[in-house]
Amino acid sequence: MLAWSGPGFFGTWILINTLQALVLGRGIGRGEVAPFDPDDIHGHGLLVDAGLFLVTTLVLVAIVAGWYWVMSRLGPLPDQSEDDGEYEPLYLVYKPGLTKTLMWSAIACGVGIAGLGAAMLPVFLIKFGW
Amino acid sequence: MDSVSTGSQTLKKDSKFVEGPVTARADRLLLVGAVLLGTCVLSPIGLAIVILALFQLRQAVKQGESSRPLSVTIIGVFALVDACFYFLGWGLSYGTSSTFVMQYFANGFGRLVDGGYYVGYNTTWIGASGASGENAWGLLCVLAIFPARVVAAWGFLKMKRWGYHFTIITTWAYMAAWLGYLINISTDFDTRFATTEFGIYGWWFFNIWYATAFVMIPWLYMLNPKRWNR
Repeated sequence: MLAWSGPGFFGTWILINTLQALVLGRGIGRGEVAPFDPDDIHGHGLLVDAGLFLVTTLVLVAIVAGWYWVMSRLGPLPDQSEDDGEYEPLYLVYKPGLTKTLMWSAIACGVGIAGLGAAMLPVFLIKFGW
Repeated sequence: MDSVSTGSQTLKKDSKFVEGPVTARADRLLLVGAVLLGTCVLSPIGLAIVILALFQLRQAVKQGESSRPLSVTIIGVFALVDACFYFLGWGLSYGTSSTFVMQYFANGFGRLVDGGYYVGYNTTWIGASGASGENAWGLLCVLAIFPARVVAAWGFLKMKRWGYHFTIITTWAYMAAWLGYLINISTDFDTRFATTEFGIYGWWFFNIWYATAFVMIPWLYMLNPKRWNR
């Protein structure tokens, strides 16, 4: 049943958003997009901008370090056995068809996330200029 | 005895999980690549590094260096990259929303995918999106859910017991966040969806790939936790 949670959840929400768009008469296709000229935006200059990125990055690193500290100490400890679990079977419930489907879904989604993420800046540069 | 039969699965006893230098280097590279991918602006470089790391992991397996199951690597990398995107992309957008690069990026993203990133951008006291609900969810995810998930995914890849444990917890948290986030964005329909180039289907095309939690949850409950015993 858990395997159907994804299609069920996303299918329902795409349907809800589609119904919203149909009721409101907008939201499907191009909306009222305000024009964008990169010359209209201004930062604080290279040095201050770089400083803000640096400080924010340090804060984020501290957040992750805090979570690492907490989780590596509060999580369950390994069993007190000689081996590190390498002789245990990987699956308690093994369903080859479902496993294969989930693996390929994970690969497709991973490629989608990485591909779209990497494409964003080049697309913006081409579409809006610099 | 070279193998142990456990029902439908046969385990090779000579495939002891020993993390050799190539695997350790590839995992570190993977982490760097995932982090760069998550910055959005440096994503193309991050993507190249992740691909390089995956080749190195393949090389490690060929050398008989590591027997971490391929499926664990696939799901672990998937979770790590996804979590880095949300954690860093959103995280950076809060501290740097007044910089030129972030304004440019947000304006581009907003006009194509999510109007909340250019309509009223940087007008709330915290900066970033003009939609207060977006900022509430963003900060929850940046402070709690996704840094925890980055750490959990790393522990999961390293076959740590706590990594497995917290991967399950953060996967449920991620599913809950999806529900809350969708309620929030749908109530802001006019600002978020009706002011973009591609409307609702553009938003869904961009975001459907982050279905990580829903892909992972059934698989996580099929696993044997004893395998994560480090």
